[in-house]
Amino acid sequence: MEKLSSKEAITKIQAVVVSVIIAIAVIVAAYFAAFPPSQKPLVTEVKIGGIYPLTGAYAVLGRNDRYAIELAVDEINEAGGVKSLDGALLHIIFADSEGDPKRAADEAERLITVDGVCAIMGSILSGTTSTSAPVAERYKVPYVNEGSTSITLTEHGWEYFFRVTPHDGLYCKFTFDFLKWLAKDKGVPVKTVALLYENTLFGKTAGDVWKDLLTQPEYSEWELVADIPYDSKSLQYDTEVMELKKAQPDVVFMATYTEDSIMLQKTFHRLDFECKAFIGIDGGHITQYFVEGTGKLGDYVFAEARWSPDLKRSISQEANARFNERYGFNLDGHSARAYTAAYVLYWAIEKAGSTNPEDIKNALVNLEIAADEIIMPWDGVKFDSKGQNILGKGCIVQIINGEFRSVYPRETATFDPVFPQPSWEER
Amino acid sequence: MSWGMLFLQTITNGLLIGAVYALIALGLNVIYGVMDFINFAHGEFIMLSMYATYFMFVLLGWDPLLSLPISMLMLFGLGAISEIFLVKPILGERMVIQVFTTYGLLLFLRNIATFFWSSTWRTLPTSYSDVVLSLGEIRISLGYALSSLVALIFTIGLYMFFKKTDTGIAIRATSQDRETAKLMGVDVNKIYMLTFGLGSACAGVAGVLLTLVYPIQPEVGEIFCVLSFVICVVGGMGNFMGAILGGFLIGLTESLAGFLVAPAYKHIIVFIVFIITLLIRPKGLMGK
Amino acid sequence: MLRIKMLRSSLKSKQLELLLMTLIALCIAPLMSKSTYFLHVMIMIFFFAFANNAWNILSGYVGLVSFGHGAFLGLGAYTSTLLLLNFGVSPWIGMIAGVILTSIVAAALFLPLLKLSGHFFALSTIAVREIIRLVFEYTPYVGGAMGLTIPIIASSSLYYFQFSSKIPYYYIALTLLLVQILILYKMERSKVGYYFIAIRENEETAKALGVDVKRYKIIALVLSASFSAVIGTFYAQYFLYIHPNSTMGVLISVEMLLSAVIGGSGTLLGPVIGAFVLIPVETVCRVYLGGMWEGFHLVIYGILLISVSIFAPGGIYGKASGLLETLRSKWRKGK
Repeated sequence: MEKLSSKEAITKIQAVVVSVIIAIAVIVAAYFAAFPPSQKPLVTEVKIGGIYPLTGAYAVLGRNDRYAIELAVDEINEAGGVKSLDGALLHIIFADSEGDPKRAADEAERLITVDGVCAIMGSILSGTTSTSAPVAERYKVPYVNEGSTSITLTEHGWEYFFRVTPHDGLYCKFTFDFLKWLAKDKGVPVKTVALLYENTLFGKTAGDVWKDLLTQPEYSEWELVADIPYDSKSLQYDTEVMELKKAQPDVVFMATYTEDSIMLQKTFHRLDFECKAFIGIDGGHITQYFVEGTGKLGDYVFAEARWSPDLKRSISQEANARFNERYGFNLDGHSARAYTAAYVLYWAIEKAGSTNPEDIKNALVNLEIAADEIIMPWDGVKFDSKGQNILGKGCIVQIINGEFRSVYPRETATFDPVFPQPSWEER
Repeated sequence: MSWGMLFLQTITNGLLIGAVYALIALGLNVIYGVMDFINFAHGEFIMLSMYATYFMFVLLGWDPLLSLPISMLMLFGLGAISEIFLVKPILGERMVIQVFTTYGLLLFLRNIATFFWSSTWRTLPTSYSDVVLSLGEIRISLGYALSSLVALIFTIGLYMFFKKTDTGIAIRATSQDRETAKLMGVDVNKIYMLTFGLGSACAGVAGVLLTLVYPIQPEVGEIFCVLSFVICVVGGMGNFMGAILGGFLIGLTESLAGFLVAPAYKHIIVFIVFIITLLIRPKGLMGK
Repeated sequence: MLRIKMLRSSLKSKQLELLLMTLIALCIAPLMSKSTYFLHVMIMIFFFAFANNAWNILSGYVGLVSFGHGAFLGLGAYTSTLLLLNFGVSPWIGMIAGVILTSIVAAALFLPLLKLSGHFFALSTIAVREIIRLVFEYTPYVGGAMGLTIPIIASSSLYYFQFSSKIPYYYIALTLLLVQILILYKMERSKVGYYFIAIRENEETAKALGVDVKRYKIIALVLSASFSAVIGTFYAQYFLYIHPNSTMGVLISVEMLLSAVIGGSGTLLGPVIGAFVLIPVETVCRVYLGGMWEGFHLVIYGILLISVSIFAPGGIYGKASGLLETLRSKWRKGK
């Protein structure tokens, strides 16, 4: 048969084909719009959507968050579900954002209009939250965010957006305050600092906040000697480390993803770059993979981890023990916040005594959770008018013999930090 | 460390990474040279080889360098099978079809890895890969040194294979003139299968060597995807020496750009060098 | 003389009827369905049909395969969004500005590449796209890596191209697509269309026949980039958030060619049909299987893509009509 050439006019047969195919596609789309994926409806259940990157480059974060939320939901349901709704059970419908903002918006749309969820949790990455939160806003469904820390997210005037985690502004300042305390406590002066951050949404935000803080009089004693954004999709990081070697800073602040944090640490060692401390924020440094990947080389690194398994709080230890028993590894800064966010949403639903999104939103607005009810080392949970939790705090850990030890704030810390770190030869 | 020593260190880094780049691009180039086929899932083949090496190390205790032949053979097999089932049916088709098929393969392999082995990062803890060798003030990790060395040995071996053996000569003949080769009694179908297998075996070796220096994750192929094409095109698509030249050129450009300009701009500069090279030599440095 | 015959041939009344019916069905679909998610899926289908049509001009008709169309889409999205955010300019005007700017950038950056052949052109477009993306990522004025968020303006407004309901988006997307198809239909039937195909089939022959190859390649490039920029503005106004990685990245560039290839590249309705098949399939995979096991739905999706390309390498459009043709002739014989 001669290949169909575009030179021909549309023949009858082609027109039929076009119409048939379009019709089939429309029917398929309509079918599954009318009959949503059959999640066996429980007698009484509260449906909540969860948008997480379950595939793609950030899949591991999505998976861990999902585990933590499932644990929290099971605990809540075993304890009798939502009591103000006659013991209705929580039911989380997970959706895969693939780490792509388009898909995240798509899934928010689907969860709200097809599955009829009364609230959405999500979505780790600030990029996917930026597109899925406006969808929730349009349908007036509350969106409880556990870990997207980009500052601007709460600056858009979204009324239905509630961020349980502190944002990067607070976390970055927290690392600076920590260093100030550390230098004073140990009597070791710090004069120069360097910034090393991956140049996408997450790292760039941290870098900008740090740079901004350094211009303020409070931190003017430190001189910024190197400001190095980098591309985290590289096979080698020698040039970045050489740049640091040229600058010779006392302390390096870092915002990294996982594979680059491992590669950087190895490169520091190989190229014999010495400084008094590495302080990472979130990202790679707070994951178990960093510890496994670097082995002994990863010791003495400080990280703003949001959370630590060894916090001096019994509720945190217990939650971690349950998580570890079920999945075989510890909660980390991401999953612990997801666990907390699930509880925050549960408390709001309990208080609202309704599955109406508007009631849940109002409950969230007025929610006040005390510090001893949550596993995070925060002063509690209370949202301001922008939907930001104002009682959040950071938590600094140090890696010692391959374990995360909390060192700051001192009230919940269990370990006295080592500063300055020993040189590569002394280890 | 003086500026001069830092500069020397930079050059060393560039050359070391260049050898690995060359090997990655070589696999693509061998396939392209003979079959006019672009495999977008090449990075995923590397990823599979990394996992194979990892599991042989963790479960059986075999050192990556010892299990290298096994990973290589596995990938050769995988390549040959892919050729029979995926590549052969679409060989004469337009380039977009190749893209489409191998993009499907890419999605499939990436996610089958996620499905079976989850998306966690794994690192292969050999005793020697983090040992540092000092040449004067220049410092090299044993992992990098070994991987560059093995990459070079393998490349030379492959070169000899193409130059000296009958099969190698048959492959080269096919790449130069398919029809004549057919007339000379070369079984072109078999040659294609062999070529695709060989190209994948290159990915296999590259994967094994990368486990010495890089963490393993289902999405790791993404890093090699764009870069390996850049290297192939700079060197000259389908040209054996082109891949090697391109590998070193890009490795050095990356290191020097990072050192002389700023690390943040190293990839922009690599791409600009790429475009300029193409504008001066539209068929790549070694292209005819 | 074949050409003249083809030029004269036009739609017969019955075929016109069929197409009209499809069109009417699409027009009244939002009124029949209560599901806004259905509308969303349809909007995504129109979106990708339009984007793939744009890609199809340069890569399908002229045969210069591009992996860099994400850059054009992103430039369009960025132009209208920056104008809106900084000067309150309506995105509709921004769309036109985007078209102009994107055409200029496309001509300036891609022009030198046009002399490259086949694979070299295709792979170099990856590099150009990557350069543009990196520049946006490192430029704070355009939002840098943080991207740009378009605030929700409370009420629906045609001027600001923002609506709380899906229905206006649906009709805007549908109208854009129909206008585009109409333009492409005219183009295909004009001398420009013939020259495009002549260049694809054999550049040397086309040159020998007196076709100004370079000029027509530039026309295709600018046309293709312009349409991409138009849909870029739609993207920004629909998702209200753009950032270099997702709006100019690898993924969007690949998505801009998948539907066209699956439907049949270089044909008028191929990309449209491709989008009508691919988007529902992708969505169904993700919705039904996405929350289940890690990565499972993409495994299935990958297998589907591979199967289609092996069984219908010329695209579904060609394959399906071929099948129907044989069926019909068999039926006739039997009769």
